[in-house]
Amino acid sequence: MRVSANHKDLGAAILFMASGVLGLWIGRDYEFGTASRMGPGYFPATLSVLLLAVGLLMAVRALRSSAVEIQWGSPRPIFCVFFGVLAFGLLIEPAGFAIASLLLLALVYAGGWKFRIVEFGIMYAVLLASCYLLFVKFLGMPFKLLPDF
Amino acid sequence: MGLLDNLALGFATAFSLTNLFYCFVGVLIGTVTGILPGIGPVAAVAMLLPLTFVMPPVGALIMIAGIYYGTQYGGSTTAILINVPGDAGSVVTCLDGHAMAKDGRAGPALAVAALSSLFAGCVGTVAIALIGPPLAELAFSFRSPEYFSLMVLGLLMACFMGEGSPLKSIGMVLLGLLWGCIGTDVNSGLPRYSFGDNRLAEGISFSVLAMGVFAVSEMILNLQLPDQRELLTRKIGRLMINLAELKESWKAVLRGTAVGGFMGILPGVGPVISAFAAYMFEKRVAKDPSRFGKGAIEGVASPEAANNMAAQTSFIPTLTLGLPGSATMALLLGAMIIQGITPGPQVMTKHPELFWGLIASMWIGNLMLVVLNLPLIPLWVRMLMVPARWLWPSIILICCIGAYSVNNSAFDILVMLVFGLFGFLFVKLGCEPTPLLLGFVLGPMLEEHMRRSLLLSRGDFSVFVTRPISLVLLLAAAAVVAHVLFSAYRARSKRTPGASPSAGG
Repeated sequence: MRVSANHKDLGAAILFMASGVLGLWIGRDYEFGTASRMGPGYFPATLSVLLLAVGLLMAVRALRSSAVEIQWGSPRPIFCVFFGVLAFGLLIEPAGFAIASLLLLALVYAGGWKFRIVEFGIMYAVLLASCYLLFVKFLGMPFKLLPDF
Repeated sequence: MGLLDNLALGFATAFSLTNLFYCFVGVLIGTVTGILPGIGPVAAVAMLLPLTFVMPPVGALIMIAGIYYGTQYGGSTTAILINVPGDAGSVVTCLDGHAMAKDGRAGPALAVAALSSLFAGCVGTVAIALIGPPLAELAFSFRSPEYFSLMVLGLLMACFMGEGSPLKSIGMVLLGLLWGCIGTDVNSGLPRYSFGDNRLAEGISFSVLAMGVFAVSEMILNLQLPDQRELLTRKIGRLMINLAELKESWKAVLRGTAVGGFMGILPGVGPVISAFAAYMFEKRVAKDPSRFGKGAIEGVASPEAANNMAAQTSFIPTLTLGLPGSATMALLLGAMIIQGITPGPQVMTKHPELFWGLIASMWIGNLMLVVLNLPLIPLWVRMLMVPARWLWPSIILICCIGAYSVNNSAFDILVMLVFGLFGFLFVKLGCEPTPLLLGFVLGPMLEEHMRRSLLLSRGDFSVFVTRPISLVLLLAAAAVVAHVLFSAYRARSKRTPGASPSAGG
């Protein structure tokens, strides 16, 4: 069943309430201390309670206001950027810059546009060369270009 | 030292070859950022922050500042020629700027935008030099309770005067403060919210968070939209204004500068809202308001002066009090902390070459920007033809490399990705991410000042209202909240019932 409400505000309210609950739950063992001797748990617990309160207030208001839908947009760019960046992060150390950036660029490119292989090839070559020269050769970042065989 | 000695020191610093170079690079990147729709100053600064960590402090800040005010120049070019704001600060410039371009007066529109920005930039530089020192003097008497109240005031103002619904913004500030707790607690040495992971126990780097929330999410949003840029090869015409146009616009420039100067100092307001306010003000004082939207030169001059002036004056609270009012200023503050400079009034006394060098560089940078933005217009028009499918993948690649470089760790790339998804979610839920970043950057300082205040007062919360300056700051915060709530209430009782004021975002 879908609730008729301001879904944007309701979503934000749920996000805030969830963060507040998580903040309290994960931090349940942090020593609270007293006001004069704030323990490590004092500040985050206060914030979590405030977040929970703001979230509750927003949820009530959102449920009482007129319907607003969330416009999520096309899911393809989200997945492509997600898997592209994930691939780069996981592959940069074991597989090197050439392979990691190839996957990243190809996925992001495919996320927005029809894949034109020649154009992509040129873009990849240009970016690979310029980034490698700038970041690795010039700025000394510890990337290897290719995996060790 | 007198003002002249200070300015002499500033210019000596800013005119060194390396600093001139960083200033030029900054305003150049700012112009490009401004011209390209789909990437704003926050994303650009966030993306380049890791690079600045290896630069000398003065050069790093000069470059970041250059990106920020440079964007205000570049944005108007796209707004006038293509009717798409190159960055958010030039949204209103589209209205009359593009109408002028349609009339065949693109050249004068570009010229008046650049020249009014230059005028405002020069006034802004002087304003920082004049207002900064006395404000810092005042701030020297601040102790922990005052700093706590000041930060509360700043964060509340950012929520209530910035874009979006205040309640959502408060939630975002709290979320930012809570995320700022991730990492080892300085007092007890206890790792908080680290899930037992050593890399999280070191805390989240603000540049990784900013790249995720502002740059990666922006790229996802850009990929979702069809490419809006159509090249309109239109004659630009003479890139100068004539005497009649000068007569028409000089008062508007002065008014825009005043509006921007006043609003830029306030946390949360910044160039975007200042430009809007200046445009509205101009329309109200005009003899014939119906000309607006049809190519009124005042409608370009005033908001362009206001957005650049606001970009300049927003440096005042950041540099003198350590209180950033916008996302870009939060990044500047973060960069200062990384460089080992404690933000606050002591910046001016301990690092005079940094404060005055930065101010002098702004003046130089504004001059460079006029040269970059008027004679070189044809070059930028050509750059607008670079297709988005080349740009967005490159930007994501640079973000990934930048995130890695912060700690030489691939883990940070994944952290950036998580925050990128959060940033996307925030936009879809209509949550303004700026308060989040402000909370995140200020969080550790807010906690520390709260702890010290309560330690001194033996746990008595009245310490925040018994000290006069702290009381004034908190009263000001209460006044801002009351004013906004009251005007929202009045607006709602005037309008038809059911219209919620929280629909913005």
